Amino acid sequence: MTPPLSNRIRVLRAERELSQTELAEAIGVSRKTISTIETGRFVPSTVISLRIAGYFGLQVEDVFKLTDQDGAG
Amino acid sequence: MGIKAREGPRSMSFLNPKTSAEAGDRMAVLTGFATGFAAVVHSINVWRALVGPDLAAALDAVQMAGGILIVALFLPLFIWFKLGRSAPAMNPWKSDSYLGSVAKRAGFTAFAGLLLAGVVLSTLSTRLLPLISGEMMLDMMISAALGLFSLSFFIFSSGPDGDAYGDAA
Repeated sequence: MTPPLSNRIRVLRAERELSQTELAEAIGVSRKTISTIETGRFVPSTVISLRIAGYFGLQVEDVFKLTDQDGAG
Repeated sequence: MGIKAREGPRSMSFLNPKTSAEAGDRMAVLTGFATGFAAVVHSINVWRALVGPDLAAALDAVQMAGGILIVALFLPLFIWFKLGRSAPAMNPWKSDSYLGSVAKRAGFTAFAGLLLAGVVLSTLSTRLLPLISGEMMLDMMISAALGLFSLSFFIFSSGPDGDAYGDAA
């Protein structure tokens, strides 16, 4: 099944040379949670999405995107 | 260009989670193992009714040992994760982490399976009840529910963990 949500977390981490563990610790989740979000296996809650986006200093929609929509809202 | 693995070999073991989030995940995994083990131990009640008295006595001993093992092994681990000072555990059932969501999904699957088994058994009760006792039926359902939770948890949480990408996984 195609993940309904794509994200740029992996790219954003790479840009900042940040490991999954470091990001997980920074936003208060486990590394498994970050890794499964990155691969699309887990759709994060609104709270986690906001924390991730906030950590990178971005809006949620700059990090996450619905795969079956092109900016429609 | 990838991310450098800064941490070297991971010092974090199952027993020493670094964060409360990791401790919460450990508790979820521990719950999966403990319920699976409890399912096996509880199912001995069913097997005991099907075997002879000699084997039944042996099964009693196995069940007693299993019960002691659950209390002696899993209970201290639960307390360890719950009261760990460096990383106090968050409740996996209240957490919105990946394994927390898997645990909730497994719980729902176990409940649905139990409900389905109850419906099937109630429709077959006139045929089944003369063959097996109500106590045995209850033991079967409890064992199945515990086993289904454990099995679902590990099936739902299996699969690729993703490329650690920067982590020494």
